Amino acid sequence: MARTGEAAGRGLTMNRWQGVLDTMIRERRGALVGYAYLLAGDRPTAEDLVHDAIIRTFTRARRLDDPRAAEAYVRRTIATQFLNGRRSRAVARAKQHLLVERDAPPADQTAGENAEVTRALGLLTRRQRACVVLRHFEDLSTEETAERLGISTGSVKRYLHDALAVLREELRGLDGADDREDAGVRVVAPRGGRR
Amino acid sequence: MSTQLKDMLTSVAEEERARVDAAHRDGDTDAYVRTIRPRRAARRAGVAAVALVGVGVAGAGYLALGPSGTSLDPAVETPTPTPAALVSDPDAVAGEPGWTVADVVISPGVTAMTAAEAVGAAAADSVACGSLESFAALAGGTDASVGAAKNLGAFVGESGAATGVRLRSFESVEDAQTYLGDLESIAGRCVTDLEGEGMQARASRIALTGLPGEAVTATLPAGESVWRLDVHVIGADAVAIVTEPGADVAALDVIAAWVEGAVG
Repeated sequence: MARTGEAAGRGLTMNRWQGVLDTMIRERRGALVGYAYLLAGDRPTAEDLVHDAIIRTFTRARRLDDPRAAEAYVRRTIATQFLNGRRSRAVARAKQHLLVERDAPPADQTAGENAEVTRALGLLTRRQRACVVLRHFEDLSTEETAERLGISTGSVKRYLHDALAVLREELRGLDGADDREDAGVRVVAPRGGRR
Repeated sequence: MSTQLKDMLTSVAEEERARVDAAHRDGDTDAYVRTIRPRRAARRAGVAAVALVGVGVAGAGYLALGPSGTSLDPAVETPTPTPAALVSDPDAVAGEPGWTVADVVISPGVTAMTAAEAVGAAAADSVACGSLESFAALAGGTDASVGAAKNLGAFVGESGAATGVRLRSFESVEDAQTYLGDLESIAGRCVTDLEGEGMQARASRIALTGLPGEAVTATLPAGESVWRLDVHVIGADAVAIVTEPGADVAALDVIAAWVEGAVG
């Protein structure tokens, strides 16, 4: 039995899985929400996805003694749950207007740019967004992305092609030829610029 | 462009990470442990799932937990179920405590994951694949008003993956056959949907060597393993078996044990 972190400080004796959970909650939850936010596009849904994924993972998995493996499970579950669209779709839609105020001046340049990126991601379909996040944020290969999403590599390439065309049109500064090997994604002249 | 896009995505994710880290400095591990522990116990020992107030509220996420986990407090007062000892009874048949197949004792109340959970988006997006969940529960059919299915639980071996079992008696042999035919049709459409996504799935109506009755089996890819549904019918009696990826107990062993108990 191990005692770990804050919970140990309160006198709880921890099993190994609880130690891994404690590490994840304290050290990695923010990053997981960031990841889920890229997929979902709004905070309540992102936090809901992470919350559910953590509970599912730690409820189901028998052996959880490696924090990195546990995080990989959670990330996989987040993506699956996001694509399953349970509960989150309506929430995301309902909250969308709260997240992006197109006409509101950004608090600072970074926040404004991030809002623009979030808005542009929101124009993509769920699968397109998932492909973009797994491929370009998680740095998975085309094959790994396909395996993770349970679709073919051809579908991944198609989703990425369409997604990148949208992003290129919506985001200033996102231009030039795609340098990823998967992108049979030949994108035509970027039009760039914000509307 | 990849680098540009990566930077943009990282900036968005980083902003969220910083916000969450600032809002949850204290961590909520205790609240999560209180939520997860009874579920693990139930899953392992077959104790019926404990009601978890305040967990998974739509849209609230773990914001609902708050730094002090207040909204989970009701769960704190929910006693963690004492795992009932799962004692093997070699004479037990399907539906009796201690029923044992392949050296694993059935855990009452436990259910196996759905196709959508195991396979992912492609199955979730397919209406046909989603319908397999109903067949796995032996729900619906021409005599829906009678013969409700009984969830016997699941065999959960060392891997932690479950093999779930349900039984149902249809009103007539014809009803059972119609049900099996419907499943064959739906499973075939599910396979077609998955193949459209480049996935290899199988569905077939078969007779098992040496066993009476016939079955429909659907095998869907789930990562490097498979999720499988078997519905076997003898006369008006049916058993549905869901085999999670990596499960220790095979559907065929369960069917054989059920048949042995049913027909002696």
